[in-house]
Amino acid sequence: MNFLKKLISKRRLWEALAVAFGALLGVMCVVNAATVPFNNEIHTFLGTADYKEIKIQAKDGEEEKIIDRAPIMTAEEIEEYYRQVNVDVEGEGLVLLKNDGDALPLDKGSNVSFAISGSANLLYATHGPGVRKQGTLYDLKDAITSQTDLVINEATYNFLKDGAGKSNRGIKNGVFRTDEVPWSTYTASGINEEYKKSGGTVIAVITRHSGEGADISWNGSDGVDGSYLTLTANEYSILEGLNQLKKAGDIDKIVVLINSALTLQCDFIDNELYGIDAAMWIGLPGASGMNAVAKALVGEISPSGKLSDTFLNDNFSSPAAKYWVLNDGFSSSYANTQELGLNGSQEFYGVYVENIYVGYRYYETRYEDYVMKSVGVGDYEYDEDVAYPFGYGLSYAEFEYSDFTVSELTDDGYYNVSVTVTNVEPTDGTGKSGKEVVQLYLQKPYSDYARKFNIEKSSVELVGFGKTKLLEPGESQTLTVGVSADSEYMKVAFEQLRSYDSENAQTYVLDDGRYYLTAAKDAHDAVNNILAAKGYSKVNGMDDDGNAELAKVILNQASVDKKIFSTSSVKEHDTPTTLKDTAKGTEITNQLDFMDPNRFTGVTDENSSNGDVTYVSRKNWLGTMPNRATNLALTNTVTEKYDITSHKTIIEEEGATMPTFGDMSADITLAMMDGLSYDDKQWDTLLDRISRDDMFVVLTNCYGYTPALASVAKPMTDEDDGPYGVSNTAEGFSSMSCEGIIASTFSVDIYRTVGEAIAADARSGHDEAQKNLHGLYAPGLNMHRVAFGGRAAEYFSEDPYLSGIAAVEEIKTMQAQHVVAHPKHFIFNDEESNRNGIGIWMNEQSAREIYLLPWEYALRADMGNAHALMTSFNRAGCLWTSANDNLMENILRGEWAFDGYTLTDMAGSNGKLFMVYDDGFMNGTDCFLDKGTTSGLTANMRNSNTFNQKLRTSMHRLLYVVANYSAAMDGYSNLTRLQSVVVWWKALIVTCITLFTIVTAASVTLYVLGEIDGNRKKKATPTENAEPIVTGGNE
Amino acid sequence: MNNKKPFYLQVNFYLAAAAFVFAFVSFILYAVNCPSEFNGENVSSAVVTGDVLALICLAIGLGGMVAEYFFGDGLIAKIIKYARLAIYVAFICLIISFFMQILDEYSLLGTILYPIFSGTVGDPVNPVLSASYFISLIFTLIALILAIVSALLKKSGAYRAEVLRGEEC
Repeated sequence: MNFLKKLISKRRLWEALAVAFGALLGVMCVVNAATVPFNNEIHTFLGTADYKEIKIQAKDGEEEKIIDRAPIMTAEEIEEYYRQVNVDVEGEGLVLLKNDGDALPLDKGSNVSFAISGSANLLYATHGPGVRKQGTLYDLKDAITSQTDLVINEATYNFLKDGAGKSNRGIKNGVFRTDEVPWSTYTASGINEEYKKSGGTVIAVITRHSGEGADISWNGSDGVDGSYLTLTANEYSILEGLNQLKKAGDIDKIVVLINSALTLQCDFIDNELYGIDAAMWIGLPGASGMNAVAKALVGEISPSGKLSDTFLNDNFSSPAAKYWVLNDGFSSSYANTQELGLNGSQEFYGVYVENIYVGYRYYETRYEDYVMKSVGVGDYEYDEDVAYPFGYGLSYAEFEYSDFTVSELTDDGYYNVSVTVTNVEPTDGTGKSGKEVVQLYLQKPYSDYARKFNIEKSSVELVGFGKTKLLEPGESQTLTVGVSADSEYMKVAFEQLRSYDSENAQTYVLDDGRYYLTAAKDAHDAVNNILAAKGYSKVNGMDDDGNAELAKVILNQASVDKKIFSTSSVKEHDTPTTLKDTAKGTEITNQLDFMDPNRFTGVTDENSSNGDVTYVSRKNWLGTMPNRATNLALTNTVTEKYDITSHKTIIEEEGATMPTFGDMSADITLAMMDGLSYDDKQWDTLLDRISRDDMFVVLTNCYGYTPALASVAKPMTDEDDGPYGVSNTAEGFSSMSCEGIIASTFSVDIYRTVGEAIAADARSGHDEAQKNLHGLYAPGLNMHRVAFGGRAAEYFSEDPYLSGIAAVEEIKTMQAQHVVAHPKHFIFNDEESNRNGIGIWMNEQSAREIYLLPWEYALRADMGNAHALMTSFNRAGCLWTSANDNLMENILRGEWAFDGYTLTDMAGSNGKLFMVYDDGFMNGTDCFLDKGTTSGLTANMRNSNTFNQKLRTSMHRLLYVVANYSAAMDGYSNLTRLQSVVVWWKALIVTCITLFTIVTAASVTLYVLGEIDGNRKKKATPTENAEPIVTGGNE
Repeated sequence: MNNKKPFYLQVNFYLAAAAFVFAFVSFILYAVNCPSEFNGENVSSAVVTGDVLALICLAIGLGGMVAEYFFGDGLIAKIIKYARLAIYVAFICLIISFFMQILDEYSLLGTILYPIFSGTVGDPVNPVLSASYFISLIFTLIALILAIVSALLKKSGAYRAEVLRGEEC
């Protein structure tokens, strides 16, 4: 009793303990709450797991079948290999734009100085899903020092690296700025004297940033016209200052390197004011790519890259860019936003009014129409718009083409092409060796039928290419299929002749007229060849005589077969393995009317008299080029399926039954499914074992991984970002050249090597957490629609064919190492402005021929066969792309027979208003990049037979890919099981919460008892007459 | 009226009152401005519950201090002696609210912080939302510090008074 009294008399102690432990209890409760969404991150950080792999005893006669998907390279081996690949890619991809008077290669041992701050402060990769950590990087000085015997003027380097010449470039108040210092700073610092001292060559590197989340500043920046992609007045002043030195004979040459994934406006390169002798596009070179640039400067590498985008004299000249400006950089709100109360994920839209005329498709078509004097073409000066056409690129060597032949259509549906390329450099020892890219361009007829039904035809489109080996002077190589990996696409598939007719036939058609095929050095050369074959010449306004010998009519279709690519006839022309949809009986027909403002009743353009938007058409260039903003308004005349709302009513499918969940009676695991087809009956037995809650939590928790699932012994898979290198690497050598440079190699061999290297790196344990990755969110497959797209570094090109082929070859080698490719972002995510829910509108022809084509290539089983994909933040029309069964089911799985799984972009981020589970699962989305819990599974979803069937189908797709393709299954066998374990940190949290609760409760109790006891004592000694007590002001 | 120092001369009263004001403003800013696309236009129930409980407890604490002055040493005084405990509870509620505001709004926080750490522009966040969130977070932190300081001052004052009272006896 005395002890208790003594105990309760220590009220101060109990009060203090109650507060302290109460606070700790509060904190631990929050920590406990955090373990739910961040469970996998904590496990990764601490190296723990909720399960352990065990092997059970084999039954009598049962044999263990171990899955072998071991990595090809160890962590120790990868770096040297990867860096070399980076050098090879950059070396094959850099594009020589100008080389007046053979300014390059530089003389051995000659002097070089640097100008413009990018020379000492390069951009190697973009942030965001580019490579975040950068370890040993080779800058221009390192590369020149290690790879060449050129003599560097250190003072000029130091001036730019950390001295007065260093720019304070970056993003200021949301605007990209160079903040390059002017020439006067150079003269004030005496650097102009350094140039004089060294003489020789001055290399000026012009750098431009880009990245995720924002498009490039097209106004408000410090470029002379407000665009970030135009040179600034200070940059001009530096180039002008250098030219003055050159004119005075103080320096010999000015060489410009463009260090940007974006297409810098190139109107300055040929301007005599600046005296530029040579210019090279080096893109973003990655960690080690500058070594290749240095080698190219001295001629150890002869540039062989060809532009994967058109480089312009006026970045605002394309129809897409004109619309961009008119509609405030893709930030238009629907006219009735206020009236409809649209939220931030609903109010923005953009229209692809340019139709199919993206990049060179516009410039070259308008040029051809100008030469042919087509109606409505107007006065067109090609050279005012285009600095360097698509596919352009010089070499140190000169090449000639001959013996261009095209086969008849083969039984397997191809026109095989053959071209002989000869290096025509002098053979007396002074000639240069080099590689050449032969590009095949197709011209489809712009027929009366096409005009009548608004089918647009580009004057040329890339349909094939090949790259020679290194040709010595005088050496020839005939490029044709079978010669090398790099000649594999010297063929044209018959299906490439198709055009999409969304108005009349509502499927792909083979139009009547002549189909020309040409072998050319670039897109402009191709048009000139075809024009020459048609009998045009400089007299008609051509800027160059084409070579008619290099253009052939491969098909002269006399009558229109309007539905040649529909179900009924495709079998005649295609191999059984292509277009599996026909085997499924899926007819190709219009799927995207809901995103064409002119075919969808749910939207109208209030700036137009008839409510239609005007698409650019070669029928009348002048009349259809964008000259006014659109002002779309949503109407209430559509069904819920196509309106802008989220959480749409779940419609029960006829005959849908509630699937079985959690039936563990059959002993079957995921490893046993390896090699079984998707339709194998055993999948049902396996899926029956999984509870609904487990399914839901796994599928909504794919936040850079897919969680483990003990009931079927599914391991956790780890994925990471990385269109051009694994993002979260610890060592920092994983940054590859940007995708634009990869594409510009025009080399199948390089595409394959890139896929192999990135996958090997992913599997080697170089991830930040030293994880062995099993999947990559790569490659990026959106289009370079305008120069201002923020994520250009992550996407290949403005051309869908080139993007598609690069993706196909990269994916094949990536997946050969059991790294599941997740190309992204499906689809129409070609801009960053308002990407969270922006509605993209366009017609079906441009959707299919430009934006969907690379995806078709990447996903089709007979081509890239990617086993997964990532969807996008934006909408197609009113619908989130991932909640749209026309795209996600009918096209993806129906037409292309895609049998992998689909994953959203960051649904757990700012997409919670529209990237919602019910709409996603109901329309073909399988996994959410989110941190879902069972609380997200609403009663509506739980009770719907159809929803539960969809959930099960999504689980099936995910498990099918993991079982058959994922590296995560390496070492698993039919005897492997996952056993749940209590991890130490979870036990610690529970223990702490229990302990803190007990201590807090006990302390409060003892304190209260002490107070009661104190009151009783006080009662015994009354103090009524006491004076007011002064207690330091607090009681 | 009693022989205690009036509440309006006590520092801890003003501290608790300030805590109440900060917690109230924080709550209003969060509840009114922070439903957004980052949380499906819903605010965190844990944060709201924490804030509301904290406000109630702070109100009880403040009310207790005022009542203490008016009701002297009667039965009510005995009860309101425990008002200090209410401020402790408010402090704990504010701790939970503060951390849950970070945890439940990690998408918003990540979107705001991402461009700072990655060096890129990042997705734009409505400035009203961003400012409201950070002010709310900071005000909650200030409120919880003020609440605990107020309670501790009151505690030390109370024990000191007891000691003095004991010496007089």
